Amino acid sequence: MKAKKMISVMTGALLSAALIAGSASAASMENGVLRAGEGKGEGYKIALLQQHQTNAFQIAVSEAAEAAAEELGVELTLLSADQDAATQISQIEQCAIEGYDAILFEPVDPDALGDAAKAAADEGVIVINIISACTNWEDYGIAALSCGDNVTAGETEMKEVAELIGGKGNIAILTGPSGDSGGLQRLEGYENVLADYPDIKQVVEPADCQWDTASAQATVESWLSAYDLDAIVAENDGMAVGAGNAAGADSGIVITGVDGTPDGFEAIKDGRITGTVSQNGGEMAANGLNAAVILLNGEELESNTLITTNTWIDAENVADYE
Amino acid sequence: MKSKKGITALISEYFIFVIFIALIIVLTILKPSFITPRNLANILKQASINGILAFGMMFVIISGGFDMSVGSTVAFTGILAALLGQGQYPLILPLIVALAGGLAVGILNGTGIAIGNLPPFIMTLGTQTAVRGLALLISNGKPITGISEGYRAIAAGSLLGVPNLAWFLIVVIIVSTFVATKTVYGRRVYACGGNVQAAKVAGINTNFIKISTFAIAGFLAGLCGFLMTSRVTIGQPTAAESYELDAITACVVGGVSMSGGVGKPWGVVVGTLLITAIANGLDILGVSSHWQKIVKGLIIVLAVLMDVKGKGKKE
Repeated sequence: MKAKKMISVMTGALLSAALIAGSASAASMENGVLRAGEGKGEGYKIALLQQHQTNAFQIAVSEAAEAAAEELGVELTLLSADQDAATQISQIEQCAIEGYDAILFEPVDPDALGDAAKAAADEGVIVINIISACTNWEDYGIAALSCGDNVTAGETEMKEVAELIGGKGNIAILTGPSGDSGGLQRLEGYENVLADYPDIKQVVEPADCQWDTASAQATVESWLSAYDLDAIVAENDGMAVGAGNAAGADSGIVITGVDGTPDGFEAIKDGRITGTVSQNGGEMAANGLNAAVILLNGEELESNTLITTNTWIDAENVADYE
Repeated sequence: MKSKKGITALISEYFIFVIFIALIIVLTILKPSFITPRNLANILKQASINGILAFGMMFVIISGGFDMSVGSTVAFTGILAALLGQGQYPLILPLIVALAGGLAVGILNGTGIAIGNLPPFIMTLGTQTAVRGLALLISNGKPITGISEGYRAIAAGSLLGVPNLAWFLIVVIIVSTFVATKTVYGRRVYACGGNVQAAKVAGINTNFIKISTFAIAGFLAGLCGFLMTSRVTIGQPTAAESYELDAITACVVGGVSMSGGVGKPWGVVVGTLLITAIANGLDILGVSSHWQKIVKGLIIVLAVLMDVKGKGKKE
């Protein structure tokens, strides 16, 4: 609830800033936030197509999109593809037929949605890619991309870990499903940072725990009976919580995640995990929606790639994000 | 001569057990920390939820059925338990509600199959999807946080050096073994899976047997939902994905025949411990996840293949 309030306060501030700046120049982002202005989207019908609606990250996306739509005066429809690319393609086609002014979509697959997006864009619909990028998205008539940066998120997380363990020690990594593009990008971020720390050693191969708490918990229990670990770096909060359960509260092991979901916050507060990198998924949806309204009003975006910022959340500032 | 023949028969009968012991020895040689008391406690903890589900599955498979819905039922009842386990009620309430929720799904499955004549695969595939939807619906897709300290302590604690979760499994093993091998009901379950027509002719109420085995599987899935939430400290609508397959694997590796009528409870215990020990052993060896999948798949197929070959020779 607090986060919502913060967003509206921030929006207010940015709105006045935008008014002072005047509307002649192209709309640009400030601190990873893009706003078109209150009521600017009156009369527009926009659809937002999510990958799925089954975790805290996705629910934050739905809620932020609804809040942004209300502020803009946009009539918003949320649809879920339930992780199926074929479903998402039909949804894009259907929305184009039903006369939506803009379609925001989070691709189920980076390579499967391009043609459907292009077909909709060719019919004059503003198509915006959110959260994870389609391969070569600009070639498919997609007007803008609103996302976080998974590589940077991984780098932020690993930098914090490296500092917390004093630049040397034994670590282990928990990953999402092998082959998941978001997970691979986070791993790339880890590796970028680890290149600067030769004394940090991965004592086991990264374990694929499918984003799942129970699976991560079992793996880490097993590890802890065989290895001395200084840090466990997880690609999402769910797995970090599993690692935290295995290690116990205030274990002295640095345990971190990515996402900033409620289960992660709870574990940060009771000392089972050390911290998390918030990806601000809600902001990605809100920025995308605002970008759509700006383009529908015939204005321009300073850049058609909208990147939200990452935030490191630990025991000190966790209360601000709940 | 006679005693020699006896030993070969004994080995082929308990072949899966021999494989299990061999695996333990190999893993201990490769990584001595495998056999430490701490790690053995881990294996028991990690085997518990799958083991309890496997015993429910055992009754269903022996009676000639098949249950694809137990993973979803674990998630659904886990959410119910998480919502009620925030410290506002005594812990017995979330436990009872989770058990009742699981039981209801089981009875629904059994009724559809016995009375509605639906193939078990189709009926339980339907409930698998619908019950997962229900879990997502009541949790609004989010993990349920805030379960009470007392509730967490159930899975985290231990008694006499054995993790609490394992005690639940031990009780389930003892009760299930007794029911399957020492009661009239148990013999009827085997009869029903062996030959339904013959069982009917013999005057067994096969519909009741079918419904009740699915009810047992659902009930035990409800227990697992309650324990799962305690173990991971959150109620997750996406939890326990494909756990039904792990339970089926444990049964099949343990010698329960997929065509019904055949299977021994101790086999299911060994099957559960075998697949848990493989996962645990590969984790502590630090084997990469890709290889783990390959090794796990191979060991399962080889274990059953050798078991089947061994028994074939005997006959």
